[in-house]
Amino acid sequence: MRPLHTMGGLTTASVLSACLLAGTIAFAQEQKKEEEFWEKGRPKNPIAAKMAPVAAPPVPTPADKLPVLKAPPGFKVEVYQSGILDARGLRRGDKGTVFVSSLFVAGKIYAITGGKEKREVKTIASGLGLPNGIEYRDGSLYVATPKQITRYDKIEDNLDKPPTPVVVYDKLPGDIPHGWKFIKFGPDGKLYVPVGAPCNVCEPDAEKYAQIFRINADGSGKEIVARGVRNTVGFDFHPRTKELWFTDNQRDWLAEDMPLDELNRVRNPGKDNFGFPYCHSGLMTDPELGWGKSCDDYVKPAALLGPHAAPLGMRFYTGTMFPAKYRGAIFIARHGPWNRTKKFADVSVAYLDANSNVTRVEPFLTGFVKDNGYLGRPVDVLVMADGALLVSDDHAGAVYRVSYGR
Amino acid sequence: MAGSGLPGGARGLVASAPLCLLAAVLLCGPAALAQTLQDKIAACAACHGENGQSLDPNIPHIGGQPKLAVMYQLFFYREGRRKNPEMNTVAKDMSDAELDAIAEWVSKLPPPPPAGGPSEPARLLQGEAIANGRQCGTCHNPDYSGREQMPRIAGQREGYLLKSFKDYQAGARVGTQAAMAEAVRGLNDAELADLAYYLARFR
Repeated sequence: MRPLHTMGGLTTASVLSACLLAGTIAFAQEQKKEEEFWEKGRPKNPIAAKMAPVAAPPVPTPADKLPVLKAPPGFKVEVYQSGILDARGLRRGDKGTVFVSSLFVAGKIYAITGGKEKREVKTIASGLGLPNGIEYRDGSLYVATPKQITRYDKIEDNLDKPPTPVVVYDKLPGDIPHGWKFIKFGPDGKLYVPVGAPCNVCEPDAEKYAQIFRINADGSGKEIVARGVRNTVGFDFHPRTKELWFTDNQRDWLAEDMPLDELNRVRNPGKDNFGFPYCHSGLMTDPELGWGKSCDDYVKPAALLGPHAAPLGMRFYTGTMFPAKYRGAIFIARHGPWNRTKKFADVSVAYLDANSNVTRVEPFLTGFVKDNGYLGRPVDVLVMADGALLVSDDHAGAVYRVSYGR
Repeated sequence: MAGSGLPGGARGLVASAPLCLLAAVLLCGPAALAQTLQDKIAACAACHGENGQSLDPNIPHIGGQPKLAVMYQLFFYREGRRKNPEMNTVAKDMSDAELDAIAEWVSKLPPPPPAGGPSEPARLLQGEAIANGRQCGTCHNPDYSGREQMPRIAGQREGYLLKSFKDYQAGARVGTQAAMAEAVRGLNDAELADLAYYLARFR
């Protein structure tokens, strides 16, 4: 009988070390793969370990059960339209149509038409995959999914029988995580398109991900405008300086009160880097990826919008209905955190001075949270022709109207 | 003609088992005449079992699922956002109120027991390691019983779990968030199979 500690001339020790080595390599590969996507930075804390994304039932809240929202004295809040499942992005057509996008739940694009007396909702597209991004210009509605951007021409004349969409751009990566879009034409006539990081925190290919780019209206001439952007779902252009401002959602799982989500200002298109994944909130380097990096090397946020606040749609107030102090200020929908035990959500307002420095951010429209649970969650804001502000709510499936003094 | 006669005596008793199975198979499928809520619930039970535990390994157990999880899947089937010919037909005409009522009924059914039979300890360990690494228990609860929109996955049919993972990977199935697409991202077929193996047998 062959001794157990030798195998055809191999010593036990050499077999063991070979096995150990192979095991170490396999383990290292496993580790890398796991951490690359999902596990990274997850706390072991049992309270944190219970947090999960928040979902409302796939049924809109009836009009009489919608949250009662509060705005400052002199403002009036009313339900513009209820029964719009998963109401997300808002855009206005030339003829008064309000277009509403949706995301995971509904997969539809809606059009709200008619005046106050006989308003109605039409579904103009359905079965779309995460069609969060919409934009309207020169009679056409643009719709962006994680995969492509399409265009529906002469849409307001054909709401009952929308035309077959034309493909504008189909070279998007198509990832589901942070792949959904917010799109908007800039004052330069170019369409601005973000591509989020396909993860919570990782080092994705910077030429493809974590950026905002712009293209010509026909999809040509792509150029990167901003880098180090984790996931923006809202931006607008300063009405006077024409600079791009955007909200950015920072990483999950760091801490209850960190990081703080950002409002950012692009002063140098094509050159500015906003720090993801190395610097968060302009304040701290990432505990895993940030070693050897410095927040000084990245553009600082123009304002901090709260921990895990999920700031989404934002618009400069360009109307004249609201009091003077709101003109040129930015309304920001804070969708509210899932990755934080204490919930909050509102539409906030950021005031700017003459040099475009943010002087103050404060809540404007509140009442979305009760007993630490969501009754509604604001997604986008839209300044109407009369100066009123529309606010979409994907949790309750509604659009609200905020007006002043009449 | 063996087996074609009317059941009678001892031979009839022997023949009744396959006949019952045949009847169940015939009844399982989109019930075109399911108009009332009771009919629709009966149609669920025909395939998924009276107690929410299916007899066919290709059909998922539904017992013990959280109400919101059921409501969402019925909704996705109704809207054609999740593809399955039988389920798309069954859910096509359901009202929002019916989604609510059916989901309520399903959520009261008992959860299925873990898959029986012999199991390979090595695969269970592999599956457990993947489940821990991907933090499945964060959303689906540490005992994988599910909550809110996140389904019970403990004791679910293995083949169904595996198909779900692959559908999420391929983007063929959507969730209410991107979480599932992220959770299964980068796992290879063998790893997904081990994960399904483990969850189906979880106890």
